[in-house]
Amino acid sequence: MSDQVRAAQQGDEAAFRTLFRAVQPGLLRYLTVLVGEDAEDVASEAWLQITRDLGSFSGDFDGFRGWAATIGRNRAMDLLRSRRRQPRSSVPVESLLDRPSAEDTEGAALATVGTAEALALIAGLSRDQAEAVLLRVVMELDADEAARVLGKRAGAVRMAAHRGLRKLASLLEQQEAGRRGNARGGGRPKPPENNFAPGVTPTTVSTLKDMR
Amino acid sequence: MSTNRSRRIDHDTAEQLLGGAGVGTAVGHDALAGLLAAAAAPAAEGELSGEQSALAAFRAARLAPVPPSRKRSMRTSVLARLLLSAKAVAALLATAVGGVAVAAATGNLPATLGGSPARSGPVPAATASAGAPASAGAPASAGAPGKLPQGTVTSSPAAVPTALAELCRAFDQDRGRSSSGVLAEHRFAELVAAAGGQAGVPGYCAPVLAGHGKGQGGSPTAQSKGRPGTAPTHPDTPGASHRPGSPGASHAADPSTHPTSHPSADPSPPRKGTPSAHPTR
Repeated sequence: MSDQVRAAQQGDEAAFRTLFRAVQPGLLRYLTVLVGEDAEDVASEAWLQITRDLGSFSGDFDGFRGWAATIGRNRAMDLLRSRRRQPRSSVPVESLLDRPSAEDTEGAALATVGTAEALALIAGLSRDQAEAVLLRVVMELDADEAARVLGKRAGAVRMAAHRGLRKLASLLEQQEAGRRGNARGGGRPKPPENNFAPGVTPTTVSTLKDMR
Repeated sequence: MSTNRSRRIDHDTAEQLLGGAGVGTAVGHDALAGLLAAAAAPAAEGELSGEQSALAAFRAARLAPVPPSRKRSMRTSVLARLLLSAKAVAALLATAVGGVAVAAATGNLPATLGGSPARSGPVPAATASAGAPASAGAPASAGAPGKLPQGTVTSSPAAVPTALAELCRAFDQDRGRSSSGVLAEHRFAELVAAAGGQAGVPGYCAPVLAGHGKGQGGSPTAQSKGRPGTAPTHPDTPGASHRPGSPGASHAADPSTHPTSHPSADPSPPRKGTPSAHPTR
């Protein structure tokens, strides 16, 4: 894949397409958690910038993913700043869950539903935890690269990701218990109720403040 | 009970999960591993809908690769300017110092400077300042990007002596054919201006032509011809206007303001000037 990065920099369109297909799904999911339904617009803006600045990029495929994530994140932050909107609301979940219905192939729809549910749960985390988990898992960055994207220290990002995982595990259990208990309809993950595991900071609002 | 279990994810397990370990590797966390795997699942069809527009953007950027090439060219031009300024400053220093030295050696200095020979100048001053600015001035300006504009400016006066030397040679050749009218030609205007009048041209060109007769041709003669050019060409500006920021400028200017045409200075300054010029080129 690093060869593809180099080839794309030389102007190889097929190589660029390969890069796009490898990076775009993760980028779109990451941006969906950040900006919701505007993720596709933000992603296309990001790709516009990527194509423009590809010549000045230097690095391998790992670096390219991190670079793409950084560009996407910056565009997302621009959008959030300009709209003065909450980065995470119920919108991303809805938009994700609505999308598969517009598609035909059952397999793709099923996969997206699974992905959408997973992203909806991750979107229930605090912002820094969600970003840390997404960059590591969805963008497949290592802790150092993810820290570069977020402008934080690798240790802090690792810690946020670990906390996020713990909270996800507890959310999963709540979900399962809820399903077993009173079988809620729709099969959609309910928004996280504020009974977080002790010791984990469930401060969504304060993380928003941190962002500003 | 359940919260206890979920918090049992230790550092290593978390790193395994974050690193894309599949279901089953992180024992007891299958649900979480499955969730993460679902989040990182292969692309669904709708997720690649932006491919065509991205490819179009890629093609457009390739057709008009202005930003990347501009960035690259900017980087190279900055480097080039840096090198150029270092070279130019070094060349100018060598020219100024060596020019004075050669002028002093050929006994041309007092006449071309338009002043009476001031023989009171101390001889060591010329040799000491000849070495010091050449070594101190060039690296200082090379390391300081803020002096780039000055560096680029200095490149033009450094080029002038060479041009004047060419004019001198052309003048020398043409003089044999038609003596008087040659200098009136437009192409010699610069030379005439530099020499302070048509009458001054032969004397101004004398060191150049003398060096030309002895020289083997090529760059060495051009260099040695260039040096006497600067000092007389800009009698008032060897340091002050060309290298305002350079610490070595004032020192470099000293020898010209205190002409040291003492006979004992003859052997050493030219030798000092030449080696300082060559390593920097």
